[in-house]
Amino acid sequence: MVLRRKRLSEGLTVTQKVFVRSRNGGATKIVREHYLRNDIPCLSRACKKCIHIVVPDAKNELPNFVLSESPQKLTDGRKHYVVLDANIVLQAIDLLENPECFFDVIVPQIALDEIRNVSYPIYTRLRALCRDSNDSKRVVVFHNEFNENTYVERQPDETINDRNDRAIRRTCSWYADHLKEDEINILLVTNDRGNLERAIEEGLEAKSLADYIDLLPQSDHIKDALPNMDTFASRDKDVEARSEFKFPDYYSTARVMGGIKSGVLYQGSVQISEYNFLEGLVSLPNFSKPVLILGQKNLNRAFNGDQVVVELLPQSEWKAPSTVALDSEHFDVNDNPDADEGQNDREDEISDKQRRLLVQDAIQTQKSGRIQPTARVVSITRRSWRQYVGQLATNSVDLQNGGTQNAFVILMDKCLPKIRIRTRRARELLNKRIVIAVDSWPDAYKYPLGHFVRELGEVESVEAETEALLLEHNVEYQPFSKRVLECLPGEGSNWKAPENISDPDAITKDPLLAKRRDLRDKLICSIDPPGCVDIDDALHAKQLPNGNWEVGVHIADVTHFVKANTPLDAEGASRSTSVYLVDKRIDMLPMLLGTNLCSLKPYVDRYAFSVLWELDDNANIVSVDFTKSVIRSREAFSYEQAQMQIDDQSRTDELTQGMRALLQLSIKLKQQRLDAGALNLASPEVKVHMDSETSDPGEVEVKKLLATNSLVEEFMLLANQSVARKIYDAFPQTAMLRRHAAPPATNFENLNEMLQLRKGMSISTESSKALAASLDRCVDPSDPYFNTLVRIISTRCMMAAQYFYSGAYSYADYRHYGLAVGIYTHFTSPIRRYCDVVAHRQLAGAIGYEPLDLTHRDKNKMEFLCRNMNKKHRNAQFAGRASIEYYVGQVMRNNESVETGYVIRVFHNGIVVLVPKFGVEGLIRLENLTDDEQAAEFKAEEFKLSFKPKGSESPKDIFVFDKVNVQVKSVLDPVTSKRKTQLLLR
Amino acid sequence: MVMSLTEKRYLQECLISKPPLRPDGRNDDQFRPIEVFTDFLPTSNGSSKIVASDGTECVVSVKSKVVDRSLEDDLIVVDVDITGRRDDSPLVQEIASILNRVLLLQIDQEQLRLTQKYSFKLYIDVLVLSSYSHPLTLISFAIYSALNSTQLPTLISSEDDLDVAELPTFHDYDMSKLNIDIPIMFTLAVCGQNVIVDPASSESDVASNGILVTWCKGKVGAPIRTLSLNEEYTRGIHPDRLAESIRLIEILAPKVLQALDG
Repeated sequence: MVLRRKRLSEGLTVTQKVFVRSRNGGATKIVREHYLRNDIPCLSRACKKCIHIVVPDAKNELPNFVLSESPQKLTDGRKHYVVLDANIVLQAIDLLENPECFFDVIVPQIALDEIRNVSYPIYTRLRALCRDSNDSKRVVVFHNEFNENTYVERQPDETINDRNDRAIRRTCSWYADHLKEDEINILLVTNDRGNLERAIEEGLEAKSLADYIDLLPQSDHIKDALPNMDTFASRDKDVEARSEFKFPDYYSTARVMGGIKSGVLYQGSVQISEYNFLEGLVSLPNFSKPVLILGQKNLNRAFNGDQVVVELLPQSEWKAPSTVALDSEHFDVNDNPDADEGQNDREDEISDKQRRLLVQDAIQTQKSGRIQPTARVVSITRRSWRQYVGQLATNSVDLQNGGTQNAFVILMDKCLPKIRIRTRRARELLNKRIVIAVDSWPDAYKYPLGHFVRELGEVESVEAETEALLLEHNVEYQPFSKRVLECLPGEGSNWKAPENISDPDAITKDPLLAKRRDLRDKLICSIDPPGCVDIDDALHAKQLPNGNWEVGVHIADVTHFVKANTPLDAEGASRSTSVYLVDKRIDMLPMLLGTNLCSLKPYVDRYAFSVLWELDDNANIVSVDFTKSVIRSREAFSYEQAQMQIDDQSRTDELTQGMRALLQLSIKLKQQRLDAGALNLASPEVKVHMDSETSDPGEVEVKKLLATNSLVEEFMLLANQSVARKIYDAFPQTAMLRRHAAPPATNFENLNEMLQLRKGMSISTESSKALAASLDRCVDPSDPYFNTLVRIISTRCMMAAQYFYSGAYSYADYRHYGLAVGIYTHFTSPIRRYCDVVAHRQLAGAIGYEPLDLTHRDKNKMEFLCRNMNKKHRNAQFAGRASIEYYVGQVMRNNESVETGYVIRVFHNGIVVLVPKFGVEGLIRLENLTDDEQAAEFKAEEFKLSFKPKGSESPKDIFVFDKVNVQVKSVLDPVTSKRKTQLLLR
Repeated sequence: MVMSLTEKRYLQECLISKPPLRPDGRNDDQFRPIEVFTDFLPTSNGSSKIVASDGTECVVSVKSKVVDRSLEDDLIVVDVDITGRRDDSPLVQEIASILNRVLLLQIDQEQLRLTQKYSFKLYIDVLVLSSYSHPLTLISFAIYSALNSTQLPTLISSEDDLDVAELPTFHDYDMSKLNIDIPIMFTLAVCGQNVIVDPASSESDVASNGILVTWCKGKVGAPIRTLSLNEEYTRGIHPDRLAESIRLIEILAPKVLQALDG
């Protein structure tokens, strides 16, 4: 292939880039014109030449020369700039962000391209670093591919990587030459052996990452954060960890693509069982149930949440899901070679043809019986790796060793294996929560390799535990950035709604004001949990002359302050939801809006988005109207206060009358909903009372529900439905909605089997109405809590409700199964949920208040928003629960007690018991139940475990749903230094 | 060039004399000079441009696609476009059908095989920019040069994909030379007892018939057939002319290939 350069004009040359793209088995030859320029500057302040060649960009701005003229000196006193290879950024982005090292960094464009292709999150972090560190670290991108001095053409028989490495070396040599007079050395940092050797051959200065860090003045500090790779350097030394054990190789891309196309390989994401970290499930298309993956070798280095490709195992290896509970911290504590391994070495000789037949068998088998098809992971499409929180395993640390050593980190997420890190601060880090990043998992290593990122603090300290759970649940908790805060109204907390909305002055400031309705004369009040500061909603009711009721739901007008396409909007969209922890709230929007300007506080004028209905006496909707408004709340009640005021017969003022009317109407609304088949599910929700002075958790209380809770709830549901219908009418393709799919009957199989066997009851899943009715029938006269227990277990069998845009499903699938309504959205909490913000904008568009922004009319963008919302919403729930769990643990630390519990699962080696009083559940292992583990007998089909209790000779049978007395105490696990609830049978 | 009846008569007399007197002074076995350029279209896998001394010009581009062999029968498709002629004109159709047949007949499709399941399919596009004499010989030379310069993506996945399904995957840059036996075709004009190669347009106008001879894998091969060069003078041929044509091509073809390969 002859590549030519052709000069087009002064300073602009054109050449061609040719490559072959393999896609779906085809090969396309692609030729691109590639333009080279001579006006790309080196961006160094020391340089006196480049200033003459620069030209302004499209915004008429000149490039910013960032690199310092007196950069950091190495230990030998020479000034240097660093040029990075892509592998350094990919492996050590944490180190790049470290404020103590890597100053004046040049990232060649070719490396940046590679980073973007390999990992987009790392790419965005690097971009953010380039953008924000001009005064501190100074990182620039040098567009070597477009500079005619540094562009290199690919040579015959040269791999693309070799060519790119050569381009990076060319960039280095150009820089070195360019800045020779200024006495700035150029140092190439790469962990690629070939590139390193060749660079040195070519007379460039090149170092591996570890060697480079050694050259820095403050190297000792930084060394711990070095990524732990199976590099050429470590490969020779590190023999101990690489025993005879070896994971199977992954398949080649060609094999994976071909296999998926011909239906012998399947792609899905792995979900590791929370009871057994060596058992995973993969949901696959065509299969009615997830397919099982059992054992370390079959999981083949997959992490929880990874996107993987699997292959079915021969029928002889199909199994029932394991009945053993197993977690990583107690598995292989001393890291013995696993006894189970080795038996699994089977000859894999089935051909693809047989495999296709196997799929048919597998689908058939899933429909019957307990034996499940199993599969093994043959390739990992996308890793779900992020930063993880954990702590050093005490027994893996050699306390005598003061130098660098290998240690295991046990992660908080018990579905994940322990991580091997190298650290010199092992002794110091014991009993601390630490953040680590996973680097790689070579096939010869039993555990993945990672490196230390930072420490959070002592185990069990509130700060460390709170930050840990925020990190673990991927909650963004950093303070809002300056750019975001700049979007807030300039008046700050002095912002006031105009006195008169037809005031010409005010209208010139805000032309939309004329479209607002003044509802300050309405007797509006809000009802919220005590101590609520972000008041989203307020209500009013008034009897109309015709005897019907005018009911208004007024929602904080967040979108007046949060305009689309501002940094504030982007931040809100990215956080998607506020996160409520026991002692802390992570806001979606800055405080000023959430707790002040948008919050519908009493006695002040606030902007609102109002839904006004005319309801008849039976709470049927006569008409509905939507308007932006100005309101003044008369009072902010807590649920109890509201209840008291309603109950207080002596009060007959108009506000109280309105509240009574609301209560009556809400009761009718609720009845209508229940008649339609709305579910009344339960979760063991508890509340932790904090001591107000020391903010130590005091006691745990199960949440109580008052009639006023459901008063507010019913009207919010009504508002959400009315809005959903309206925005769906206006934007049939992109309306922001929420759905709840009917649970597949298979989800209830296990529960039904247990109910049938133990209580002679059953649950029908035909419709939500049938389900609700059958749940009502599940009553054990001798135990009032039994019904709640069934509801709790049923809740876990349900599908998760999800946000979606209307174009994503057909109308029939919009149904909200739990609420038994046909169409639903979230509209009523825009301060703490982003979905509501979108719904507000769409409603504003639908009523002609202001045109809807394009981003909410674009299916792809809505898809992206919805996916993020669903993810963040789930994370927020988990974070909230984890926070409660932590505090419950702290409470129980002080008071040990004996409580009533219920057996909800029976395993081969233990039982899972739920204690309603604390909302905790825990596994009681067989070894804690009996002295004679061998004599214990497990009958899976009867959900029965028989054993001889400690200190007793007569055997005891434990069935699922049994009511048991358990001793509840909180213990610190010696292996993981994790506090958890320990239950012991009494 | 339009000739008067007298001129045609004169030319015909010249050509049937022994040895033939050709208007441009060539011997019966001499070709006109041609210019060949190859591999000048970056987006195609192989390309050539050929210009004859009378101004006839022809461009050929070869593109490839990966196909499942069980779904595609013909792995080579030739498309011919001649400037100034409709796609359904007899000349264009005749040339296209001859080329398709010859290439499918003479090229061993096994040579295009990638794996057990997949093959390359070649799309050969012929564009005749201007033609003053029967363009078949020229087109055939151009196809030969184009296929000779064709570079196909290099397979890096395994070739045996019958038992273990694999999608072919290719090297992102390196190409391999296409290695096939390419047939070439010669047109000869019969004038009385004489057979002359590479007839110019004036010669074609008065030739009593044309003969097409195919050369492949070092020998004369099928098809050998007559080709009507004009409408006025065409008549039957004596089998001796056929034998003579073949003899002539057996001498000439290796030399022509040598020239094209060089």
